[in-house]
Amino acid sequence: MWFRHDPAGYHILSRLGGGRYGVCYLAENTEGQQFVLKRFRPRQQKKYPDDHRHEAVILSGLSHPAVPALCGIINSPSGYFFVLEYKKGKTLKHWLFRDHKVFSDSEIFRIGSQLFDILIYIHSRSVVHRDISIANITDDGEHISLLDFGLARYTDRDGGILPSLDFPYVGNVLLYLLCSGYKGDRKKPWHEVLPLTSAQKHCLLHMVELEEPFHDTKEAAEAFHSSFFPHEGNFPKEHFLF
Amino acid sequence: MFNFFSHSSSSGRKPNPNQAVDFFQNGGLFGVFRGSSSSDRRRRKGQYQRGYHPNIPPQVGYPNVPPQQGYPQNMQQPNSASSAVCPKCGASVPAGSKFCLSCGAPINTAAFCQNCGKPLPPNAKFCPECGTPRR
Repeated sequence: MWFRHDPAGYHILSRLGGGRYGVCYLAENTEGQQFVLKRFRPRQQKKYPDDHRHEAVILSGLSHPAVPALCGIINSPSGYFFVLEYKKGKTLKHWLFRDHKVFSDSEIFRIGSQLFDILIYIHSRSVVHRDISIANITDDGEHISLLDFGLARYTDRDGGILPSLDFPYVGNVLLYLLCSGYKGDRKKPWHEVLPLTSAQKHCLLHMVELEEPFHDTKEAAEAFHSSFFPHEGNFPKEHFLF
Repeated sequence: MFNFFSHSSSSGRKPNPNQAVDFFQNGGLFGVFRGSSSSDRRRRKGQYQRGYHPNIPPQVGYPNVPPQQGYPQNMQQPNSASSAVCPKCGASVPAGSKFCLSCGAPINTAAFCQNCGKPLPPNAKFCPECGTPRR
């Protein structure tokens, strides 16, 4: 039992994870459907009372199979909750550091191309995520989902909130995946030791802004697609969305 | 062009591009938590600078900008002109939200611009951002 009183209409099953904002729980409603209940810490809510407004508005305006939909808001004695669509799968952080999974070239390509598909969508809706990380991406083996829009904002050119802010985060996620099977020298910079083709190396250097950054999401996606397409093996083409 | 004020959180946080490799270099459980915490990334701001500007030593040439706490402050604050009123509890609901943030009641008037995707204020005939007519 997690709370003295379960949030109205929901029974909490387990704790999924937490962060500075609060804690996420897996819960089911009276019809047995599973949801994620994101409970905000009261102290955080007092300190930043408008933070959850941005997340609520941004999620209300997004409709994509890889983005959890906002299904409701609960303000009850047991806390303040967002009811979010439950996306199956484990986070990339879980796959890497608990299951010690080594990602193949085709899996990296699938995850990367699906991630760019999501980015193209949210950037077309003027949303910048700003917190893409291995802890905020789930993968069920076929499809990924992008979670946690708590730091997401609408683009604001005067305020410096630009879609290009997301590219270094994506580059970082790809580097985590590329490092998953790496066993060699760990003292030198990644771009000197990882077994990358010249095109892959330059794509990543552009992405993490060690070289001139990409100008828009489509350019970044095309560079990723052309440099990371796995030439060996029988890669199922339905897994990439371009 | 290099911006001396680029490490202000108002212009967006950027991850350390060597973060993934840092984990494998550091190793250990401690590295797991250090490597992926959002708040930790803020604390290790000096490493961002090394990551993005490898030829510039950290703490050289940077102005002494006080650290910003919490989220960036350039948020668009909901105001009365761009918000609706919840029919159930009467609370102000930011434009675009599908639910009242106070009582959770569904709000049916939420609308978004077909062109740019930004929320449309109630009764607005055009998107205030791009000017596209409301449909």
